[in-house]
Amino acid sequence: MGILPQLILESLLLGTFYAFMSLGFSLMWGVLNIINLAYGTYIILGAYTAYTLYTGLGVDPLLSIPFSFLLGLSFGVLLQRVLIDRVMRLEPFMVLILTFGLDVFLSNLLNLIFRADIRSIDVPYAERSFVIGPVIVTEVKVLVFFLSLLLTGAVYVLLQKTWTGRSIRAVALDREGAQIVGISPGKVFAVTSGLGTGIAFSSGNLYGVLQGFTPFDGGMLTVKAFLVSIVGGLGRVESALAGGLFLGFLEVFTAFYLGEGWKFFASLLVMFLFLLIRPRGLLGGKYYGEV
Amino acid sequence: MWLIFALLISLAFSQEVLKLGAAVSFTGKYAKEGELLRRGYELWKETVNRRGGIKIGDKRYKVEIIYYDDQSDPKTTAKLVEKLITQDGVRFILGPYGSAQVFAAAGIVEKHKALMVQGGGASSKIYKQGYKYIFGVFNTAPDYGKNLIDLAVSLKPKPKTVAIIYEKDIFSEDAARGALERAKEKGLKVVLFESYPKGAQDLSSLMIKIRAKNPDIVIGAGHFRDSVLVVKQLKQFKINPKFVGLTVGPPVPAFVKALGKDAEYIFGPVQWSKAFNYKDPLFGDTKGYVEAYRKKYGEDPEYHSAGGTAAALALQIALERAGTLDVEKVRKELLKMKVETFYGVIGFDETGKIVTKPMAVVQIQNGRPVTVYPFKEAEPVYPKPPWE
Repeated sequence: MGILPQLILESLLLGTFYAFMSLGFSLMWGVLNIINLAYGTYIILGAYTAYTLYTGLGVDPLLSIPFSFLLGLSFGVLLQRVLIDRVMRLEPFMVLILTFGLDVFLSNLLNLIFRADIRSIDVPYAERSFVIGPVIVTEVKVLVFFLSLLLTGAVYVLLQKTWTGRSIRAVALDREGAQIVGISPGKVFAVTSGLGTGIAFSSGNLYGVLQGFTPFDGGMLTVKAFLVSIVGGLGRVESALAGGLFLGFLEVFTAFYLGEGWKFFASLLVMFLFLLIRPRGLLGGKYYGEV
Repeated sequence: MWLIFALLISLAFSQEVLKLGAAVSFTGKYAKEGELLRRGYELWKETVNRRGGIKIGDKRYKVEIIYYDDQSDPKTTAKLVEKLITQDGVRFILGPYGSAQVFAAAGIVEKHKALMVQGGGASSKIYKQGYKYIFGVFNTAPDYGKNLIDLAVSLKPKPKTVAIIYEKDIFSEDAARGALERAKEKGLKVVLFESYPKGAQDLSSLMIKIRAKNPDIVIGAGHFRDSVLVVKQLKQFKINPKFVGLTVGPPVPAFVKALGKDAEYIFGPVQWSKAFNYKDPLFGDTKGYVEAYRKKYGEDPEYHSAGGTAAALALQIALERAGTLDVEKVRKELLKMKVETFYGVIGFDETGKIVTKPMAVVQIQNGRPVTVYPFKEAEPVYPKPPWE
């Protein structure tokens, strides 16, 4: 016993955030069949949006989530229409190059505007915590946990219960079939890209509350989202949840028992193992549409 | 009237001019520190010249310092130092600001067998190259950790356990190892000695560990942002050690600004503080130096300026004792030196590193860093009260 409940709690809280954070990445991968290398920097863009709103206008980063989401949504739709649509039908490799370039461009743009200093959103409740028996709980992490859970749930409902969600799943499952029943893949691509980018931006708000960030932290976050998608599988919202929790447990336990320095290494090692042994991931269906 | 008279006399004696050179940052990220360093050099120069210059052998030399702007870039420092030596004919170099800049300059100085005394770089790397012509008046990284432990064990009730966490970079690791070594010497039980990766922004796992061990002392070795992060997370995890020491951060005003009340009672080492109390051949004593500085610049000196003045002063004393401008002989005098100055006792080991001077430790009290060790502006507050 002793330390174990504490570690499990930390893993759960962190893992749920990772799940929500990676949802957009997994969605874009599953539906558009693209790997968006700029995804992590989208998250950082969200964090800077929240930062600017907080320092400039005093808007709480948790309250500005809808704003970040809408900003990400428009950004994602625009990007899909103007750039990604053009290269998506060519070789998949082209999208990788495009999004990689986008990543470099966006992170350097942030660096120009905000400089390379580490920024943090110092909300007044950032340091509050309470003790239950042997366990100490930090309030921010609990807030982020519930918000992540809520938003992940919202995405689940959207995909399952609405016409938009159904058409997204239909396109993911079978592009041509979807066209036959009157769904325009172009529109669905734009909506999915917008939704995914919106998720990235709004998870940026949460990320910014959890820890400090710099313009160049995106790459590492992309890798984490990648890992969550590989481990969980691309199937459903539930797979992102499974992958996120897995990463949460892995990071917390490695950091505790082996040291902080091993965290990233262990994650990458596990990712390789999954790719070798179980490439479809823990709950891997094929795409978001598959039942 | 007397001033003019004194000036005339000094002019009459100071026919000869001794040219020194320095590549200091006037622009770029070290512009502020570079300017402070230059002030230290200038104060020394003026004071010496007012006294009639440096007496070397039977001649009196008026001091001139040639400055170049290295733009905070080590490569430029190297080029400019080369220019000073080869084109301006300078044999005695006053150091630049910043460990990387000093390191770059050192290679050039060594190549040309010139001599550099520096008060701008604290990395122990500078002294591990086997260089013979480089001397430095800053304590190196391990001392940052050692002094914190020295202070901690001098307090009552004596702490028994210590946790040391550090960022994985050369400077911080050196500082942490200094603390580890001294803690073992002093019989403290080291319950945690662990690093975190550079740029880490969440130390939750380390905090859980520290919380489980509940140590009397927590030492954090990292850069400014890490120090702020460590304090925030110690508070977040309700960890209340009796003594919190951070190698970088507490002396800087930005530390209190970033943490507000949470910065209270945290300890941090500094190279030098105006609370030092030593006699000095040029300024009378530390107080005399502080007054001279205040008179010239309208503010109190801090360690960047003091380091510059001390480096120049050490060179001056060595020149006077050698009685010649021969680099080899001056170098021998530097190696032999053990002299009390406003800055502390200056003496070097064979690598050119200062070994005779303690660092000071400050503690944040009422939003201000005050020196509590080894000289006391105020009594250290210990044990640290719990977070609010």
